[in-house]
Amino acid sequence: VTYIFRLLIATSFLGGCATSYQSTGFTGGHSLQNGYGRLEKISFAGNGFITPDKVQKYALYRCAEVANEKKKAYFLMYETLVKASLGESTKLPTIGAVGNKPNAFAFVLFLDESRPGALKTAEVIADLSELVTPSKQ
Amino acid sequence: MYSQIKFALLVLVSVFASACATQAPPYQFSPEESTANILRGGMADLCLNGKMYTLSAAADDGSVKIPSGKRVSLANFMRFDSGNFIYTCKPAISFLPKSNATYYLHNYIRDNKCYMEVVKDDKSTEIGLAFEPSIGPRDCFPAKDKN
Repeated sequence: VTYIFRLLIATSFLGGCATSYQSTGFTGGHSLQNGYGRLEKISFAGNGFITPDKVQKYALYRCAEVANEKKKAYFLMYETLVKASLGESTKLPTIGAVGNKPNAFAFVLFLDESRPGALKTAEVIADLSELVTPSKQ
Repeated sequence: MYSQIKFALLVLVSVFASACATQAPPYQFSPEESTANILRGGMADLCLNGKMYTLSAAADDGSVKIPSGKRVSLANFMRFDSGNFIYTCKPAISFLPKSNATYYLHNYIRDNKCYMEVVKDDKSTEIGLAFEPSIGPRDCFPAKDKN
């Protein structure tokens, strides 16, 4: 019984440590670097308790959130600067990991008008808002 | 006990790392030598004609000068502390910088591997960047790019 109790305590504690959707803090979060030409690099760093898939979606949501703050209805994402220079856009941020800590990033160009490969800001926010801010039931 | 072991491991790693590190001399530009600028490069190491150099500290705008008109290799040391382990890698790339041109250097991790890329600053394009066609393999940096 003691063992199970300890396990439950540890599980609930570790579960609480997973990176939540937030600005960069002790357990990770999103960050932004500008100055790569007219592109902005948007990243999301996770800790060892969050899945790479979730980190990638958090990064995508952050791209849409920044686009929304800039009042841009569309945005283009690029996996790398070289891909950006070749005009090859992507639908998902680049995902990598150091040890068991996933990290996702994308170079973003914000747009007023739609074009091939562009993502619609409002759609991304609507699709992922439940993941980012889960409703309490 | 665990924290003592962890501390001892960190000390050992640091000792080995410092023992392996060799300080390359700073690159000295001749007065008539043409240069290019690197932005966002951090403190990159330079390899030119098979010799390694350190580059001088970035200017106020974050740019670092490199020699132009000849193939140069650049490498950046990347270090990550996961809490229990320290991961390091040194991605590198070579290219042929043009005189007075500005380039962006970017390091990143994908699929547990470190990469470096370079693109040219070009304000005439929509994104402000242009593909750099002279990109090639590294010169004298060892191929240790797995973290």
